[in-house]
Amino acid sequence: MRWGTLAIVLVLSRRSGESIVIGKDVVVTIVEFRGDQVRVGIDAPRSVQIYRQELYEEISRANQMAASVLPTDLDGLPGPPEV
Amino acid sequence: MGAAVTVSTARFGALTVDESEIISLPDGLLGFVRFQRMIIVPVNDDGLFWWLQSADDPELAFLSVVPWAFFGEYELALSADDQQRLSLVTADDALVYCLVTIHDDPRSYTANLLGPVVVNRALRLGRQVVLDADVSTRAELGRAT
Repeated sequence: MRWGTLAIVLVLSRRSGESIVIGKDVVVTIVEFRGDQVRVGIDAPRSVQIYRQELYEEISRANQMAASVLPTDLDGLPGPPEV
Repeated sequence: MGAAVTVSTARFGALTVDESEIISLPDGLLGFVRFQRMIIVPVNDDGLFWWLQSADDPELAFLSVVPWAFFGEYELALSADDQQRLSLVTADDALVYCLVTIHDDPRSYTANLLGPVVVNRALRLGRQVVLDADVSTRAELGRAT
């Protein structure tokens, strides 16, 4: 939740095997702890897309940059293989 | 063959295509959820580079490359979920486009190998997938091999 610049994050403690229900149909289960990693199981309807946040952001950024390419930028495009 | 439709584009003017050439992307691209219908426009006749042009937003188009001409070792392992969402049964039905970014000083071209756009050409259905692989979103394009 975000009001102005104030971000409020809900923090819950869970044990391995316990879950969190989000909305009507998303269940997040803590599967396992392994060193500094947590394995998380997510049960959600197919309409919900699930990504690792850093990958989502990296690819969104790459898409953003790719959207600004114009035909006039193509002079130096690598060519086909030499025969 | 279906009806001819005209797609307005900022880069290429008005393009007339058969409606069966329009590919639907129900989930859009990451960060571009409105990119839900596209046509594929060749850059030239060498078959390496293609524009993925929105059929709805004239301004929105992405330069893309078929990865294997430049990255012969590139492997694309789709998750079961992505295969289902694309209704892909055989790899022969899949077309793969990696979005290209241009960098200046010095001018270079990179391809996003981590998040390729995969199209089921039989169903005209596309999706940007996120691979579970150690590949770059900015892989430098050298000379094709």
